[in-house]
Amino acid sequence: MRGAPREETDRSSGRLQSDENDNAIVYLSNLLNKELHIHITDGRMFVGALKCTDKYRNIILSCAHEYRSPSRAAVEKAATESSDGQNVTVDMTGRFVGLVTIPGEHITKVEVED
Amino acid sequence: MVSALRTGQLIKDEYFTMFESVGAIEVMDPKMDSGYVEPGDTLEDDYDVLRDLSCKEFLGIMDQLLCHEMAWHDGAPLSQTLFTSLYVDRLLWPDTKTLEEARFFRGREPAWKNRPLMQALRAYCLGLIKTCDLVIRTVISQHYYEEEDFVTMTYNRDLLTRYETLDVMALLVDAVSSFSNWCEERDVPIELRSAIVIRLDARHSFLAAVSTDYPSVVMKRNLTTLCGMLGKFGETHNLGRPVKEAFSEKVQRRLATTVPPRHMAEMSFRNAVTKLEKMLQDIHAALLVEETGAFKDPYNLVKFLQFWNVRESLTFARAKLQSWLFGDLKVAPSIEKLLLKDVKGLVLREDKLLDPINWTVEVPADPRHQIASLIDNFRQRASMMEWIVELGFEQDIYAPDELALMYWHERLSREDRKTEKARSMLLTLGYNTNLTAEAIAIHSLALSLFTLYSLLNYLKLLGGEDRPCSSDRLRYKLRMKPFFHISTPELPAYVDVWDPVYASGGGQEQCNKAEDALKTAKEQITVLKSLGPQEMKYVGNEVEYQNHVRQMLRSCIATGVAIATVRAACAKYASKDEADSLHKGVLRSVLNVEIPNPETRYAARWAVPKITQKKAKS
Repeated sequence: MRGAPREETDRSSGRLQSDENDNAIVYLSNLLNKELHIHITDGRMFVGALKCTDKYRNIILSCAHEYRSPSRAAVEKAATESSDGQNVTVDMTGRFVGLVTIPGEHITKVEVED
Repeated sequence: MVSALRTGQLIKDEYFTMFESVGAIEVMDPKMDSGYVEPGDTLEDDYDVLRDLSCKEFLGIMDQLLCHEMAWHDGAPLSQTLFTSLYVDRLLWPDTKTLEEARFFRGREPAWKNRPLMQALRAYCLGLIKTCDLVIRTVISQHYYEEEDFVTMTYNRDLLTRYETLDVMALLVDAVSSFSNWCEERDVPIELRSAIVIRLDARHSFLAAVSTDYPSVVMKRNLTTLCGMLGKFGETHNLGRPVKEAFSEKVQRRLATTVPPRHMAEMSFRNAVTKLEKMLQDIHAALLVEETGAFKDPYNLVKFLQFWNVRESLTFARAKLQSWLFGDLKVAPSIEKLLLKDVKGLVLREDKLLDPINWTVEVPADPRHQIASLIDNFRQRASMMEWIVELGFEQDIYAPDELALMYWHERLSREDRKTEKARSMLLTLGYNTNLTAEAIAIHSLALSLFTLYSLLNYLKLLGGEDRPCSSDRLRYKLRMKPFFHISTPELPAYVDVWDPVYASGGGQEQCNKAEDALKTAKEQITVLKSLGPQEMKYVGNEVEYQNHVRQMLRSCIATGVAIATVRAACAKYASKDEADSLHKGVLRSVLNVEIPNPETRYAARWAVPKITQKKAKS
């Protein structure tokens, strides 16, 4: 029986493709259930356990928390109240959001928690 | 890395299913993502909660909050109601360690001391929040239907749970006096001032009413006072000016929520006050349960609860009633004892079968335990069967030609409590005679209606012929389905049922039978009239008892009228030969039968036909 033409003619690149695919599968599978920090286009960050992803970088996180950068007013307030007047740390405000799907097109950065 | 994946290929946790993924919120989708900010929109509202309010605005905001509070009681979650208030939001977040710190700001605000109006608003809001806290505690301690009737979700916000109710009440008292003084100094119009003060007082009473610290006699007083105050809310509502900007859906962006963004719930002020008044009245009525000794008889208690349920109360009122019923076990010390008392009240008291020892035997194999269970089951089953059939009448599920069958069954289920059996046993309690009177009345009226309907069926006046997919046997199976697996009381076989329903003696004979039964019914109703609610176990529902007797009597009279009409027609168009189909055909064309729907009947369970005679077709 004749096989698919592409496999026959592009045998070398075909094998390379399937190797890459295997690598991807292994690497990404290793990330499953790990805590990821996902930054998105509007400035928010989501932290949660990776449950699912696909070719378009759509990501599903479970038990996720949503974080925003502190508002300008909060930063100013912390600055006026800070003791040394030089360095100020302000926590991001976070809230629990549960199970979320983040479309790949909105993701700007992905980090893995150690 | 992901680009090396093929289209449609997923890397997923082996336990994560597609089914689960459906519940995921899609980020950046405005309809799903509660944190999404439309370009051009601001993240938060720029309403200044510390701005000076006018008295009118103060009043307006209090009324808006009441609307949200009742929308919450009605089933809308806090995220769509009270949490949309920016004042409430500021008080609750961030968390505080002391009640004093719970203000519209955190930290210090020098001018705060000189702002009695804002302090009064704060006291009002704190009272409101604490009320909600106590309501939630009561509801979750009892049985309720989460997200159907009521939503207890607080989105990780603490509703002042750590603080004492009395401290919050003290704030309200202080607020009233300092606000009143402030009003005096500024010559605030008296109607405006008293409208605000009465709302602060009402909030104080409401908080006391939902608190479990007070005995019922105090609660009764609080509820009555509160209802009186609510009566005045309506006429002063227009003095206030609502502040729309003080409420916002944007608060949802900051709540710990796993659901899509939702609109603010709407409720008119008049509706809110009406709902609150009704809720308080329902609780007031339910207080009877809390009084020890109010119900000497479990049967009476059951009746009382059935009538109370007709009110279709809000979840909080139902939870309150449950907490009194099952709370400290004064009313219902144990379910077994209640049932035992129930059975004892109906059957022979001193029989060995009813020796309380039986109910203490827990070994299932022991015959005494089995006897106890059998008796309990029988009693419960017999009641259930009656209620199921009765409900069918109230819900109007029986077709006209099925009514004969259902009244036949109704009559049958009362058989075991009927005359001979009851009278042949030793009547140790007058209670038994009274119940017998009711049983005979119901039995007789059911018999009369059964006879009338089977005659009407015979004359084919009730339709039911054009059912190609149906058959009598199937109908019988359908209606008796709930009772098939019950061995006692026993359900007769199909053959036995159908014959009396469709067999018919002459028209006159059937009418006689029906009228005789009616006569018996009326006699017993006269007996019932002379008995009071006390003897008939209607304590707490005295008005309902009068209605019950009156409705039964009227149904009897209406049945009598119907029978008379049929009798007259039969006499007028009589033929000597009963098998003569023309006779039936003629009667069919002159008689018109109408079955009123439950709302228009004297009593929903008595479907008395309206029969009229028209001119015969030649």
